[in-house]
Amino acid sequence: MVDSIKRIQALAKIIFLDGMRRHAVIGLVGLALISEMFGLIFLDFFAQDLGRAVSDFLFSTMWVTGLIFLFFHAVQVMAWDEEHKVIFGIISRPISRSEYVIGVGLGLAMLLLLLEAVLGGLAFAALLWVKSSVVIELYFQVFNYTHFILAWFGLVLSLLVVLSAILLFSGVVRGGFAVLMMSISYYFIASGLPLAREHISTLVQQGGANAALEYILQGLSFLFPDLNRMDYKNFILVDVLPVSVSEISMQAMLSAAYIVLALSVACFAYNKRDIQ
Amino acid sequence: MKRIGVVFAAALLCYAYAFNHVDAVYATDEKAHLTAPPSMSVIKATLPYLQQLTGEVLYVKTAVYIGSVIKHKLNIQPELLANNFETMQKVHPYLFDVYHMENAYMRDMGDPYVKRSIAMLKDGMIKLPNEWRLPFYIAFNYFYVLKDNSSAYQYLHKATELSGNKFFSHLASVLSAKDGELKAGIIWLKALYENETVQIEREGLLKDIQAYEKAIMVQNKVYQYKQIEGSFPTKLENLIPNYLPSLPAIEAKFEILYDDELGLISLQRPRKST
Amino acid sequence: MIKFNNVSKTYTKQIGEKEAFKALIDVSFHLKQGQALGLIGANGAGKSTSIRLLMDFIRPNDGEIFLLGAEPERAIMRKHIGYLPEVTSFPKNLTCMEMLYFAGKACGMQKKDIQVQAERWLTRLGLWEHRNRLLRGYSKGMQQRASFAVALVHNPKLLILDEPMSGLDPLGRADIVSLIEELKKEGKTILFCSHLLDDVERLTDEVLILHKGQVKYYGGLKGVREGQKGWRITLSNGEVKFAKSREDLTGVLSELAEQIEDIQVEHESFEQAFLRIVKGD
Repeated sequence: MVDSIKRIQALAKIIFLDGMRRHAVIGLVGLALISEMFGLIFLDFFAQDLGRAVSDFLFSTMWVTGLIFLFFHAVQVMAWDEEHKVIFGIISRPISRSEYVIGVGLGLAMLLLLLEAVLGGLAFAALLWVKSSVVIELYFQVFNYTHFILAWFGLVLSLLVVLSAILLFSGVVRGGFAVLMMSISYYFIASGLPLAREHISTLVQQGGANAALEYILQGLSFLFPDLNRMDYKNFILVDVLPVSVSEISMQAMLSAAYIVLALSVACFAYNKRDIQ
Repeated sequence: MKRIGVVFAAALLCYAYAFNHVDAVYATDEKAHLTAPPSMSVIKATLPYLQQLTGEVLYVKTAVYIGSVIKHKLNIQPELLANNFETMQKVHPYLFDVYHMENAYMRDMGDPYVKRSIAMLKDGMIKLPNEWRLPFYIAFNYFYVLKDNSSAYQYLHKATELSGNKFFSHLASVLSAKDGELKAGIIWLKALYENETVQIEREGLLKDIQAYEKAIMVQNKVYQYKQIEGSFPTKLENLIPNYLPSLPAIEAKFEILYDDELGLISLQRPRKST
Repeated sequence: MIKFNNVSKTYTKQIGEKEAFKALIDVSFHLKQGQALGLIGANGAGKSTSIRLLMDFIRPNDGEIFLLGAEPERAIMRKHIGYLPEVTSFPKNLTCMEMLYFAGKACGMQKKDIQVQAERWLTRLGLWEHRNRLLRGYSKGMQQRASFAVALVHNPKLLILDEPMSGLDPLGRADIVSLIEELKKEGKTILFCSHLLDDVERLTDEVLILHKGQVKYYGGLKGVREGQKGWRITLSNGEVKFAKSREDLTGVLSELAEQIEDIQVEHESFEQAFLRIVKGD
């Protein structure tokens, strides 16, 4: 087990280094900074709720940057390895297929965490600066540091769920484009499913739809999780959490379990494949 | 290389000329533009994490539109504006600026839009339960536009509870009196009096309480008149001398009003002469 | 070390193909410890498929494969294998040392052992000065040598070399040939796949000739050639005659005895033997 962890760590390290040298992180940090500077122009419009507008904007930037990283870099990694035959050099080592999938996942997760940590740190500093600059306290009353960290964890965990799905698709299909299309479809299905469930639930209550449809959608939600459930950015501006700690813990556990399940299926699928 | 340089310089000159021309046309364009908001379902389905940002973008677009309308003295498009506000509020119910702006502009767009504004503010009270400004805005709309004082003072009391600002309660009791709800008004005044620590404020409240007590006394006499005579008096002077020796003098802060059809006494702040 | 027992591999039919491609058909061979086996064949004969099956990149449809006594799916056995791929396969944004550290760590080596072995092999292969350059800055020959270093850093028992001379100039080629000879003397088991028949003949003890997925010859090098092919007779006027049989030789000797300058026994070359076996002549 210890040797297995060391092999996974060794592989994660080279994935991390390769990603850093492709300027995946630096480029995206630069992009995020430019968009944040551009966004500052419009913050002048928000007089009454400046704190909320600033925190929404910063977290949205982190989210979009994370998605760009996942869809334009993470999606390609396993496909690049196969296309450029790099994978042969890696799994000719005593690295099993499962260790390869987990190693790649860990390397990409490290890159994502670094990216979000840098952006999160900048966001924290920006919020502190705005709070200290606001003359009328009413416009930015509360900035809760613990809740900021909670919102950051929620964002990162949601992105890791998407990453686990990308690794699953990479294990099942060949080719970066196919994985990208599947990942984008997955994202939109996961985003739209909660709304569909709400709509069908209302129709069922009104007698306008079959109850079986509700169960089908519930089953689909098992496969396509609601990525919005870990959106805690509204909590940054309140001192008292509007949801219980147990609810947050349960949601985190759900996300973590989903990641483990997706990676397990990815490992299984990759073990069965021919690598050509 | 020289040829490429010449072509580049020529293209750059053309571009600069065209840019200047087009930009000048754009700058003089006086039309204020606001598009219909995207469907809320589409926003929620495609951009769940970015919902709030979408709301904020819509807010900025709307703010620019309103600014342009004001600047160029154009007619506002009420339905388009109201739709945008409603989408913003649904998509980002936690952003206070939306309520602030919609309250400011929809109030002047007519009763149907004020009612829609009130509906949004009521939704906002669920999401922002500690925000006293929302019930205050609702109260203002009821009082100022819809002339529904009883609804207004309910929300003013709510604003008092949330803000701890006694002014709102005092205002609520004044509105109660205006509506004939004297007993409700006096209860609030007495509660205020009990909790007031500043002497001069206590004296002012005591005077108001005394005015309300006198008005309640007159109201009771009107009901007594109805019981005996079978109808409400046509004017308060009819109560004299059998029911009242004289009409009580109420402080100049209030004037007493009487509705002979309903037999209702109300107190009103005297209108300022202009 | 390696056992292939009646192994067959058919690739899945692709869009546009009439039928699935049979890459290997009932192939068997056995490579013992300390031996060197040359795997040769025309393009598409099944050499790369055999190596991919050994390395568990692909799985056979039929038959059994044993690598160091275990099935290739047991990844831990690859700790004892040094694999040199036909096409160098590195993440290009790493340095040579980083790749060697990864290779060593993956095989359970300690950092200081990796450092020692890396220095040994990079110096031997002439790459020590370039160890901290990114691999994408290496020439093809340098990448091939770096690939060799990665295959050797963990001191494997079995070497699987797929076209080791690919991309090397004549000096580099000679260097690699001498390296392989040294490794053979150290007792390493070598599976050597190449198009350069001279090198195969020089470096291996046994040879496996594949053609269209089937074994055409498996055995010692001596058995490849049919033996003596004839006599080459050089005449004083420079003309060269060739006698295939003793009768022909007797005829030439009797006719041109005064003009004969030299007579040499002619053996079939390895290349001629390979072509004969593959073409069936």
